[in-house]
Amino acid sequence: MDALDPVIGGFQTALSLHNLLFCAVGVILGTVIGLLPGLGSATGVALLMPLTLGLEPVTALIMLAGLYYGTQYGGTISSVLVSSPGEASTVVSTFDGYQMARQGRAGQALAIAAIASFVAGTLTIVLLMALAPVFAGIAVDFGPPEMVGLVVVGLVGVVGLSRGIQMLKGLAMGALGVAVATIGFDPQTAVQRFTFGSVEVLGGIQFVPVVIGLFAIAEVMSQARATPADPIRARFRDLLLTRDDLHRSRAPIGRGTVLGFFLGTLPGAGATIASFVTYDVEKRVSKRKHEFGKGAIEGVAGPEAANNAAVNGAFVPTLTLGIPGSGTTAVLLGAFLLFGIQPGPLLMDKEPDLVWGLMASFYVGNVLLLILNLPMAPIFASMLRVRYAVLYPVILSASLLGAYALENRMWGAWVAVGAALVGYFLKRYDFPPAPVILGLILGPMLEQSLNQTSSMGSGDFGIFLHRPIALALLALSVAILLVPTIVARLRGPRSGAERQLIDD
Amino acid sequence: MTTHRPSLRLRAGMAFLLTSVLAITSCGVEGISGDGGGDDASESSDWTPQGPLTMVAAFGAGGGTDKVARAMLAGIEQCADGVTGNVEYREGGSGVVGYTYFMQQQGKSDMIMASTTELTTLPLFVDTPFTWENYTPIARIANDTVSLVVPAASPITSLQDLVDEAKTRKVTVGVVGVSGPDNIIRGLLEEQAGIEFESVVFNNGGETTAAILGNDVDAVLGGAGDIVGQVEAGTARALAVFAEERYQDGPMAPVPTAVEQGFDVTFGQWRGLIGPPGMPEEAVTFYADCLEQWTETPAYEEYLETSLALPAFQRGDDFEQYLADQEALIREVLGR
Repeated sequence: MDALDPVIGGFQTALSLHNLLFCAVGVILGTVIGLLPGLGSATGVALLMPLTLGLEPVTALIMLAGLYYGTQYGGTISSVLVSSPGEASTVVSTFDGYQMARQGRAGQALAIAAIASFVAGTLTIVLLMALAPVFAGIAVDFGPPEMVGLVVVGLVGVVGLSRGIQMLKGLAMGALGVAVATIGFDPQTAVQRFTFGSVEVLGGIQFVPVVIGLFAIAEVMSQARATPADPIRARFRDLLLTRDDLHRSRAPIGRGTVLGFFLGTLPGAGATIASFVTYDVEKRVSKRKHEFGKGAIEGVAGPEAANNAAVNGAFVPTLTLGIPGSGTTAVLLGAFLLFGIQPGPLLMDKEPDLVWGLMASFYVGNVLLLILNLPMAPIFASMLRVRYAVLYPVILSASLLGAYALENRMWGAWVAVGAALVGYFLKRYDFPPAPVILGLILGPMLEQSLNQTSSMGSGDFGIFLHRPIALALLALSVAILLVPTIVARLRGPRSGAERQLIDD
Repeated sequence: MTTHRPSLRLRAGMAFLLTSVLAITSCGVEGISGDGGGDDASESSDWTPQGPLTMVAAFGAGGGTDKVARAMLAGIEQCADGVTGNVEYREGGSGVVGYTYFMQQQGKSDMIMASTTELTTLPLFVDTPFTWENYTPIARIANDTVSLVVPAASPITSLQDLVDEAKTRKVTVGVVGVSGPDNIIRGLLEEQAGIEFESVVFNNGGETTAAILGNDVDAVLGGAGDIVGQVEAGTARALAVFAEERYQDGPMAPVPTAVEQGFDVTFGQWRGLIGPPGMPEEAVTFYADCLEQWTETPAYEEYLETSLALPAFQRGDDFEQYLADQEALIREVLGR
């Protein structure tokens, strides 16, 4: 069993008392950082990196990686409880997670998120250990033209978020997000767009303050306006998962794991897109489409599995090629250098103990996070018993502080306030805020990859014809747009058309 | 009565909002005004900073600027007893926010800033309220080198090959950012060789590396640090470095300079330290002395090694002349 030797060696490294301790420190810090709006995993890793310099490289990296996936768990907590996503990749969890919390099911939402994250995290570690080089090969084949295809698939997802007049509103909101994303200094052309001479917006409108304003603050504002809802008075027992919850979540977790891992391996795509795409998929295949956005547990389970799987996916190109799979792994690559380890294709050959120890620690870290998060879910959920008069000011200050902390400047807080005002009226007139976020993330990616593709083909988009993956993705997005309409036409008014698509 | 209730609640919500914003504003202001420093009480030559130093970085924690900021600060802290400091991140606006903030620290002697090539390039691309001449240049400590890399399977084996190829067809070259050193080298190379590349602009070195491995572009111009792992593994081939000299050791050492291959193109991303406008002379001398001493230490060697930077110490008039020359060169390339 020679092939398993490095795996066993890795677990020996990861399970040494010393490394176990630092892994625990990492995941706990990660949970806390993820919980705070504005403080993301990349910032967290960057801030703690200097403190780990005295440690052994493998121990330091185990701790920093623990912090990374710990944030994915922590980010969920604030998304679900107060609709204030702590991490970009947990924005989606606010859609149904927060609605579940409003219905007194916060405990279940948090528990299923922890379970989904754990299952996805541990399953994808096996993929990472066994097949990293294979996936890395596929990831490298994803050039700018393929990225265009992927982003278009993601944007088409906006249509999937809603139907009818709501769909039109959704498209309008997606367009708003794309429009806002064009503000600032364009790195492709070195042109300033819509800055009106202001230095503040040169770097573009940051995505985190917009999320904070649009979701957290706007929610507090509209709650303050609405008739005062009673704090949730669920008994402790009512905060536990039921058999039905678990049953409904099984398939979404599976799909989220696969999608998340694959999208995570692509440099530049990452956990946020993975969570959005998974949500869209779940909504499409679900028998309970109407429940989505109103507290469907599938809408939490799938995306939560996806964002954790994407973290492991992001390590594929990072460890096998030395190319960061995400912003946070880019910072982690910096940590490798600080320890005098040159990341690159030779990393696994030159530092096998470190790489295998690190990968084994992901497994350990996920177990720790499950132990930490599952029993804590009802306890965190009980936070919602606090009177709103006390809770709201805390949410507001935490949100604005997060928006400020992102870049250490007041501008972030003002963006959050502006987004909150917009978000308040969007809510009031029933416009969905989620597509704004999708447009804000995907707009610049579409523009950039389209630009690069155009340069690669010297202005000729015929280049797509030579890129089968890109072509397939574009075809897929056309299919996503047209198939439901065509199927509905063919089937006539009879319902059950969609039932064929489910139950795989 | 009942119709009024909602609006009252809205107003209550807004009140919360505003109070919170104000609370943060006051924190922010306090943080900025801090202890003002800058009182040049001592006139003796052995001036040392009173109170903690602030090292401003215009880019976030974890990046290249952060790394050099921390390295230089550590060097300065070693320089005299009781000198301590913190890195303060002033991010946003592609660096403009940080530089604008630093310009407002007129005459202070306890504020320093980790600076790089964008000090000269930014004002040429963006309407900035500053140029490099507003600040007090203290010292340049190193150069990050740009290299030219092709996929391992590429038939192109030298800079001359690439230039010849570009005469027969559109050769695509990946660069990071239009305003960065990569793209400026592309311009210099085109001018020298009388050719034109098709540049494909990426956001960071990871993306350009992926483009090389996926054969999406014919060649990449980029920082050596991003590509050295691939060169070592043989998954990419480095054809030239655009510096005065080759690397002394490591996987990049066999790579010839562009000058050796008959193309007089040298341009690097310099790293260094600047002071705010009107920084007192004795403070400038103190920091420059400190950094000069630091370049003799193992810590400096370690910085160069982990950043794949080349040593390039300059201070005073030499550094100012370097900045002026660089600005002139970029203006020429860009036609601005």
